[in-house]
Amino acid sequence: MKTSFIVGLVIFWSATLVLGVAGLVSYENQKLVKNLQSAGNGSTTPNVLAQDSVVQEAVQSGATTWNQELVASHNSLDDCWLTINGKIYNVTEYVPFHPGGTQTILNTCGKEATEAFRTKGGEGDDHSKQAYALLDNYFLADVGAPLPSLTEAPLEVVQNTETIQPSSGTPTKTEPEKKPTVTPTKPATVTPTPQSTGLTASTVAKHNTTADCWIIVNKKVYNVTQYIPFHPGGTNTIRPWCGKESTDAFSTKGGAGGNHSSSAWKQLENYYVGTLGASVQAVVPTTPVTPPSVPVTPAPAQTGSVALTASTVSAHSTTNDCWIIVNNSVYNITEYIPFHPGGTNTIRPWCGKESTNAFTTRGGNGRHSSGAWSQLENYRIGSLGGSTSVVTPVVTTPPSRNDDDDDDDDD
Amino acid sequence: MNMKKSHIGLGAVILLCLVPVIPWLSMKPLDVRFGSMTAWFTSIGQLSALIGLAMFSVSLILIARLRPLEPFFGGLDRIFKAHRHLGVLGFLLMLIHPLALAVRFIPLSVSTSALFLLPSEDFAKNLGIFSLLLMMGLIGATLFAHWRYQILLKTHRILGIAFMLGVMHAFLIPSDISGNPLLATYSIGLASLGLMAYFYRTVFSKAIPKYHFVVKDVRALDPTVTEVTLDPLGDRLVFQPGQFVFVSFKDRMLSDEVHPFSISSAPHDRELRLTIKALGDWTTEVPCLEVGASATIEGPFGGFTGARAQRESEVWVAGGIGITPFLSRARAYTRTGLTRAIDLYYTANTTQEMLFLHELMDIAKENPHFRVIPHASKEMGLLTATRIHAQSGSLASKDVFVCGPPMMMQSIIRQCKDLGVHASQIHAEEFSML
Repeated sequence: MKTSFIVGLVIFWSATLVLGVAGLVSYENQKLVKNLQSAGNGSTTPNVLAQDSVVQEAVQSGATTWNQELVASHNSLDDCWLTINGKIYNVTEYVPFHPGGTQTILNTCGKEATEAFRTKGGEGDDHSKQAYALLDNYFLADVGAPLPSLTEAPLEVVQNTETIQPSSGTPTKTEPEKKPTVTPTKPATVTPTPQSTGLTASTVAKHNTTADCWIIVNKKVYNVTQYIPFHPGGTNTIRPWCGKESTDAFSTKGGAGGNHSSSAWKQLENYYVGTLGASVQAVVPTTPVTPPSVPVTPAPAQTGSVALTASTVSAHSTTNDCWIIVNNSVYNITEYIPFHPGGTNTIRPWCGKESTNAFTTRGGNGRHSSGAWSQLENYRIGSLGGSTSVVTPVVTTPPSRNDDDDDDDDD
Repeated sequence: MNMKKSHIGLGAVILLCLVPVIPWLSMKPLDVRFGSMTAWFTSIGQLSALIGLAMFSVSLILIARLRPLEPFFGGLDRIFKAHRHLGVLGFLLMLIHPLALAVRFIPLSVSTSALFLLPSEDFAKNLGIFSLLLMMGLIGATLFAHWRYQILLKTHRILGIAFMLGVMHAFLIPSDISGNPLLATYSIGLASLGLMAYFYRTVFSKAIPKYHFVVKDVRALDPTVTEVTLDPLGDRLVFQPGQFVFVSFKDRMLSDEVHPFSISSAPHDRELRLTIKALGDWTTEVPCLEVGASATIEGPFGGFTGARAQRESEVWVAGGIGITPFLSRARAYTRTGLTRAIDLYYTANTTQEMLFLHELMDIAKENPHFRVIPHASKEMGLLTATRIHAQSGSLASKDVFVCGPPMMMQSIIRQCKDLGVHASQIHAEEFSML
């Protein structure tokens, strides 16, 4: 009996300790990411769900604003939205984790749940601060915030997601992050010549080169042309799938290994063109958009011999003009920022700065892959202290990221 | 028949602890309960708490020294044994409870998972955490601390308060369980019984019926063993030879602690005799007890009696002070006579330490069925089951009664089992610490 008591206690405390340390480590990591991000623009980590499709679905239901009616249709455990304090949350992913049981949440799915949340279903006290913080991760929109009208092309939905929320008057934590990741795709997807054609497999099949690459994942069509050069897995792994149904290939990394990360899935949404089979207005060939118009490194504007010093680098400290120093080399990574799997905000604070440590440790979160290191080399403009011929301050040249990508691809 | 009856108690205990699983299972389909990793851990966490709570409740009921329960377990010593096992088992389940519930959050976030184990603003959860920590300390102290018996007893009693906090936690925390009226009623009912038993023992202990005696004689039989003779003030105590009582004295020298002792006198004696060996602080002071001091007795308890014997003959094995229950039985036979064959193996370091050898020899002279075989282990080595087997013949048709130091009892029991003696034939006085 004494033995079982001791064994029980030892197991309990070791498990608690392990969990505690693991929790602390992951908490510190989250905090770091948050700090880096808030240093950038004051936003916190949001959980951006497949928001584009959510918005699209909402629009198609005929609603013009985010309202309770919309929430009401998501009233099952598999699809559970609820309203708390005038905010709509999609808590579907959280349901299985609810300490109070799934049944208690089911009662509020599709409903206005402020009171139920505040009183734990009328049976107890308010939820803890921790619970409220957790809730924020599932934020969708404010009640009453306008939805894009049905007449707008669905393509523009991508763009709309960022305009919806700010206009609600109560800016929320979730929206600002969307902006930076969305912008780079716009030049490709937003300049549509709307034609009323259905998105079919054969339409997609026409876009089957790396210079014009559409893929189908989960019945949705994505124009990934702009992304190809930034694919950590290389260009060649994407090439065979251009113009094809790629769901399996994407979710298994071409059969080579596990699923893509959730941030990869999120990034994919940035290239959303439309849903397969939907008779919607689709983008017509993007081919003319893709060709490079402004090459990166040899800037056409003014070139000159500029000394690369910490102070010259520090002048390039915005995401629209971002130089960093890693291991005494200077890199102009402006073009890459929107494609950073770790998000724009994690890079932002380092623009214009010595970033060796931040890059090596991934902002304290681990380390970059060798692929990332070799990608970095594509953006090298010279050595610190050297007097290399470089592009003069980018101030004059507005960011033209998308057009430059293909050059990098050739490296 | 009796054998079966003495197993009813244990069966009922297991049933009481497992019954709540049935409504729990019927609340939701199994594929929801065990559909995913998260569901698995949630279920394990809930079940461990549900069963653990029932175990603690039953454990508290068992420790209340309820005499009506004795026949169903075969004596208070066995009830107490069940209490200890249920307590530790329930505690182990309670350790699983928070861990399983925390681990289920890992797929969501490791920090959420870790945070779950820490105190927060959630009062109900904090109650649970505090209760568990308190239990850890108190059970640990009971098992390992070398404190005075009486202090240990008081420390152990605080466990009732830890249990109370745990019960409050269970019914304040929102869960599938507190939401189910059947489960809630059952668990509250059982826990209330446990708490009632606890209060009966602690707060209302004065109301428990007791016998009153006065100390008539205090005789040191040797430097460590004292015989206390008590004269009844009111009713005589009716008991079976082999049973024990809880006694406390009101005396200038001795504190009024409550201690259990086997009765060494025969039921037909007017006086009650307790033979006490100095094993702890309090028992060392017993020789200082004054004649005329009043004694309060609760009991009798225990099933280490002739009623347990089911076969044609018996073997008694007594180690040192472990002779007392046998002494009572042998003394009783001088009045009732003896029809079954009984061999008493009386073992101590030397024959001088066998304080009652002469008296027992005298009884044996009068009674042809009763043999006394002294075994001085200093000269002859430790008594073995093989030796008993050689002397008394096959143990297969005998009941073996063992009372003595715990190590010696365990050794004899193991040896008997090795010789093929069935567990139901072996009877040990199991109150090592009450």
